[in-house]
Amino acid sequence: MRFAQSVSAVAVAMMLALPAGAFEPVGASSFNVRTNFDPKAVTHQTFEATLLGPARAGGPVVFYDLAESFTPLFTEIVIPAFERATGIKVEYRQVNGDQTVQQLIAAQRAGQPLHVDLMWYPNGQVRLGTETGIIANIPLSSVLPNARDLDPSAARVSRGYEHGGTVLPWHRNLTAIGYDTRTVRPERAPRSFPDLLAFARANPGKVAITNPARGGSGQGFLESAIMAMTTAECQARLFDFSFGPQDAEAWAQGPCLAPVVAYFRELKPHVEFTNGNTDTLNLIANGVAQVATVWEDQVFDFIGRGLLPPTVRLGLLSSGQVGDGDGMVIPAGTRNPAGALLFANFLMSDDVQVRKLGLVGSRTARVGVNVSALAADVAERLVPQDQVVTLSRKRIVATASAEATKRFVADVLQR
Amino acid sequence: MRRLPRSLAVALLLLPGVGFLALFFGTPLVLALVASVTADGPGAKGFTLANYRSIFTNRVHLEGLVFSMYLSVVPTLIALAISVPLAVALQTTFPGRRLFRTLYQLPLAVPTIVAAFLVLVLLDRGGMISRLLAPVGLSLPRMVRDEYAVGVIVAMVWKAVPFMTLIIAGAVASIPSDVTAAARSLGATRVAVFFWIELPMALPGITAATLLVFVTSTGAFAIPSLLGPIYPEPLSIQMYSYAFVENRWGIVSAMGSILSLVACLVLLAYYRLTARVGGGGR
Repeated sequence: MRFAQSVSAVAVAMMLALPAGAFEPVGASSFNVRTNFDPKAVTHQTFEATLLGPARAGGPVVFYDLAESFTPLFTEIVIPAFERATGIKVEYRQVNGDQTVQQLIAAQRAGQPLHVDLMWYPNGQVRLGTETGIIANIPLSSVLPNARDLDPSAARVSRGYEHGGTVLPWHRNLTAIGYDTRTVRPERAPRSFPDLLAFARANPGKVAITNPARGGSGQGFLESAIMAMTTAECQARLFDFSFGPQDAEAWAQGPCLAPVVAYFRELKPHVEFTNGNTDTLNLIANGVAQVATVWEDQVFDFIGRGLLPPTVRLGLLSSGQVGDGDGMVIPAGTRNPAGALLFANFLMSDDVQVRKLGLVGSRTARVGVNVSALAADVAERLVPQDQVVTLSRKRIVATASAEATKRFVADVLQR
Repeated sequence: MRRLPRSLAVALLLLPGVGFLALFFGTPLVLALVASVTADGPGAKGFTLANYRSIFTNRVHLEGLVFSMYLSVVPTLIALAISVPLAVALQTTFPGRRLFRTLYQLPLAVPTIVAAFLVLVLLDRGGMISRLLAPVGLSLPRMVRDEYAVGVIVAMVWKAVPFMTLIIAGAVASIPSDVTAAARSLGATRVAVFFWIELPMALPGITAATLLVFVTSTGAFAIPSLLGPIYPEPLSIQMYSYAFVENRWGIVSAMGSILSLVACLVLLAYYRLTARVGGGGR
């Protein structure tokens, strides 16, 4: 284990030492994709000039999107703009992320990789995708000119897993507490875990908590509780990518999670656990739930589409709430990596990043993008910016989260 | 011209059907069985019974298996209790019979996921019926995400009744009317005719319908996923999570094998029952 950690640390240090724009394969001596351009010729300065010709000759860029709410953004705005700007066609396909990962693995094992040039990739599957070789070992975070100012915590890490920049952090989001101002005045909205428990006791059945086993907003809430209620010693390895499933199981079954389990057991009789993120939002929409665990971008989208009342507001608990996001990857089966790189770079441009925040509530991982000019009616559907700055936290490693969820099912739901 | 030996001729005649079954049913089944006894996870290899052991020792899995059986048996029995009298009633004439025969089959055309959403919209807390009842001070008991899975059962029965009725009505219609008429002329009441003549004679159709609904219910995913309780989760839902979130195909295959085994046992019971009924008739 220590050897593996040391090797990984050296690899990461080497990657960080590369100059901006350096185009070297990640974690290997050669690329695991067939490039239709000369990687050595690609720098931030020569990026477009080098790639445009091969990209146009490479045919359409096949793009897989896993988020339904982004379809209009892609099909009506982003893709037409990219096609106009470059003359490169993009074939858009809406997919289920987790299922597609399995298809990519199966096709790769059969020696017939799927033709996908760029894919919005589920963040919990980065370790699996890297280990099975379905993700191209192209360091997108350092190669793309528009990724030059990525938040360092997002550029090369996904849920504690160091991927070295192969996953481009295109979409950031937050788990939050949503409340309906028709019944809960903003100053009375729960701002801490004890507040939430007190609110649930006073208003039985009016708090909806997404089952952590069935939805990210619940799993994020559980992770936030872990960060708020466990000791520093218990949190020591929660952002360590070498924290494997067996380590995580021992940690989750040990004494660390006792205060978290105790909190949820107190909460359980007074709240409604739901079957997923959308199920939770439906209870708010029905007027049943007044306070709920939510994803910020999903609430933003639902209000925009009239599926939630515009009176719903968002906030973060004072001990902080976790957020994360997903990234774009170039699958190893790409047939037009030049086109994929150009499209990925276009997605990270200022204009697209600002538009996606305003249209679908998806935050940016670029620190240099100015998002302060949002209209008031748009901004009020998001978590207040001051809370984002001070109270948003990184998600813990997926292995720890998965094992904590199993403990939650066994010791809270089962009883 | 020489004739083929009889055994070879039979084998050749059976080859298309048996070959199709072996290729598209047998092979995946064998692969699933092999996967279920193969260690999975990073670096794991070799034979193991850990996946099966996990199903019977891990409470979450075991209670999931029991809950899967509950969701197979209860909707099937309720649907059966509705379908048999309905199928018999459909043999009689009454005003609006043709319209009723068309209407009762409508759920067959509704996809399962749509049926689940219909129940969700109608029966959830704050749903349509709750809103209608609220002004008169009434409220529905909890029927979605409830521990007895009432919403799941309602949706599954709603889908199963027309299917069962269609099959059973065919079996009842095939009973010669002379037999029932003779029984009535000899003094049997309508109820006695139902229990002593129609029910036994329609039994092959009834058991076939029951079996098909049971097996379909065993692997139900969409309805329990949307309407079911938070805990326990039926094995079908756990299988999806293990496959597509955790990439643990060994446990998925073991769970699938167990569910298939249960379905096979029910199938065997069906054959024994129908054989006994057939034998009794000779």
